Amino acid sequence: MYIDPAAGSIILQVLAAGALAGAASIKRIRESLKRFLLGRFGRRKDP
Amino acid sequence: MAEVVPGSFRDPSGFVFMAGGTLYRQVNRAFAEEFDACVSSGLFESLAADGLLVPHRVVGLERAWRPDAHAVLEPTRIDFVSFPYEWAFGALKDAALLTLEVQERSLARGFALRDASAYNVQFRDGRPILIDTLSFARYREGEPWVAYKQFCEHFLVPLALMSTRDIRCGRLQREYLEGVPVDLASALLPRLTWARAGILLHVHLHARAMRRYEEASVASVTRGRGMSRQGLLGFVGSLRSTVEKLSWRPADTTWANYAGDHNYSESGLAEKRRLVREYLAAVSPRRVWDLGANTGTFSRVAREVAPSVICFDVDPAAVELNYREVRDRHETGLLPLQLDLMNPSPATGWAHEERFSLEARGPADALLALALVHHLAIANNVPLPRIAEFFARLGRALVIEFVPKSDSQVERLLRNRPDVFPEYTREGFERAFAAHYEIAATAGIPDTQRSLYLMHRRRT
Repeated sequence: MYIDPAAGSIILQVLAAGALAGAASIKRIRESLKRFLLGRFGRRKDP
Repeated sequence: MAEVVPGSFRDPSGFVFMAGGTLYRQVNRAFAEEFDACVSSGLFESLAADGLLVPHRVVGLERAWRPDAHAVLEPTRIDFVSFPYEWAFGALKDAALLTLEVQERSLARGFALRDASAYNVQFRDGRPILIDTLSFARYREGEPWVAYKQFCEHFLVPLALMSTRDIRCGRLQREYLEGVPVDLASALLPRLTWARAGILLHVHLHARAMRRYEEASVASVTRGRGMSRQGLLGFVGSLRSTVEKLSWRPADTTWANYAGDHNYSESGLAEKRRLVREYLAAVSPRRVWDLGANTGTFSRVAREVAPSVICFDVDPAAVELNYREVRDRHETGLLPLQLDLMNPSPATGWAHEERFSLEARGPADALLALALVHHLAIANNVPLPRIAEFFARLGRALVIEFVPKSDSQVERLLRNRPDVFPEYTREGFERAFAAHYEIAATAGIPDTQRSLYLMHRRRT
């Protein structure tokens, strides 16, 4: 059934999708950096 | 005799009707393109094969109700139609996750759900299933989800309120048939929910966005920006993660503990089971309604002789525990539902016709009313003749337990109140029920003063 989507709901999705995509990108960069640093310097050994 | 099913008249794409005892769905010409695209994509077939969408077969156009038919479908019938305000917390949550899964799988094939009504979901063998074949439309790149608000108000909001505020907030669904408004939920939810990302976005900010942009033009606010398919999938994923994190643990309520809190001896309980099975078997019912089923102990005894048992109980904890057992053990033919017999589900919606009352979904072939009548008669002051009259409207046969005043459970009910129930005697009980039923058999339950009766409704 076609329903009234409400302007606020549509606008929120468009705005939030940008924010969610941004958050996902930051997460991906953080993970990549973590992998790089771990690969470069390795885990700290316990004394 | 043919008639349109009242709950489906609002959709211009098609509607459901009954003819000759068979259920049909007419697809109108206005929806022909979308429907054909959906069929040729294999989406219906794939969803039905995995038990997510009710299967259907296409029948000839000569069965059409109106001449503007593009196709006529015969969907598989759902044994008992239930409504979201009758479901356990876990059932509503599973229905929400089903809706999101269908949306994700539709997007993968280039379609999207154009509505996300909880009334499009029914339960079959402990699993939710989508029943509205006409809920799909082709997805257009850049489009946000038109049913987002509806999904939140039908699923996320009631679940969040039940999970974080009070399980009784589920009752709001009966008042708000179009979904519990997000602004109401935002006002009612505990402050701590502002710290939960999913609820913050989908309820609190959603409520504010709806208020702020009530009269706005979407295109001007978003400057023509759309939402990529990836963005939409991410958004649906965020809804999924929010729903998955909502939980409710049935606490120790009076009723959830009731199955273990009784005064039967082991042999008395075994004999009661035997009698219930024997009495029901004598009726050979197809459908049994267990009124006051608690966690479903005797519903399962009834299930041994009947293919379908609806387990009603007033207590959300008992219904939740029962639902989880049905789901986790893959039990078939059992449907736990929440129902207050003192205020049973009414006929509601447009012209009192969209959602059926409890009575309109009957009568059952047999009712089971075990350890129930004293709660109605003594705890709730319903005179025995009225109980008998209502039961006679709900079911053709009746297996009922009479618990006398000398029983410790009735003594407990009368402990702090005057006994103003002179008619509540075995003779009064039999007299009241004899007005509507013929008593076919009766037996005492060993080690108690309780009796079990098998009654057949009198022909009027």
